[in-house]
Amino acid sequence: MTSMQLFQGFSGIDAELLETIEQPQVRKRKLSRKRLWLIAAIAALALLLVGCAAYYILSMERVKIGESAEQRDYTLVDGVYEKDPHTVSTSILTLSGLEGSNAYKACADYYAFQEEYDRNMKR
Amino acid sequence: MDDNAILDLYFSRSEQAIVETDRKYGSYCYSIANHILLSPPDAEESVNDTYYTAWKLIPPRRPQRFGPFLGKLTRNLSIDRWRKNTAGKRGGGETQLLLDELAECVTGAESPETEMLRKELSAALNRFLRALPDRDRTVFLLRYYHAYSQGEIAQKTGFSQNQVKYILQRTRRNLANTLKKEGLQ
Repeated sequence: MTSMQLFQGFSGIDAELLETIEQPQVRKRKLSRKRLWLIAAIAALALLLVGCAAYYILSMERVKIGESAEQRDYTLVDGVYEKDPHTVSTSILTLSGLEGSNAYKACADYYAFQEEYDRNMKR
Repeated sequence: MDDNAILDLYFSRSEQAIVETDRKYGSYCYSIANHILLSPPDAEESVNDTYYTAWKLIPPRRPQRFGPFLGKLTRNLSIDRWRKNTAGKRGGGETQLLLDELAECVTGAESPETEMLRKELSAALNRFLRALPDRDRTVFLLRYYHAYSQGEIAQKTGFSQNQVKYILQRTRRNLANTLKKEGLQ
């Protein structure tokens, strides 16, 4: 048999079968279970990431031992946003330990002493 | 207008029958013809031939389902016209593509076009199609009865083109096995 004979053979299909395809129902794409799990996993990961970021930022506060202001002058440096002399505020962090720990306290004391010493020296 | 009322017009030999047929089924027949012929003027002519053939056949015939009856007439006439248009040369377009696809299901050897063979083939195809899930049957018939492109089927059914391609491949393979088992390949 040739493909043309087969193609023509389709004309002999029962009318009742043909009627079922006159108005095929447009299939609404249902989310498969696998896809739902994937979306849930991505959402959970995103939340975890936000949580980690928040924790990280809060933790930074717990290792801060002081604040200071610095004068910066980049008039001779190329490729910087702000060339004119300006003041920036900086946070002084310690990697010795979290706020409340002995190492943290020692570091904070030492930093305070150093700051005071520098100020006295300048006078 | 109700199909029975249109058929009554045919039986009373009123030319209004053609007008009503065209109003109700004109675009349906045109769509079938144009998918096969890919030529609006040829499709128009096929549709006109359909009305003429229906006028000759009714009466005495009174089709139970008028829409599919007209669809089949249009399809057969459009295939004949397509064959005439592409005689001696390899025809292009969607029809040639789907013939190439259907070639996977048959041996390709010319069989005598007897009424017996046609009946056996129709019966085998009907059995095969009835056994298919609705989804596969719809996709398969849109492709090989209506000559829709894979993109059009995807749009009409809501499947992706890849899903349509896969369903067609798998169904063709099953059809080839069925035809082989029934000695019709």
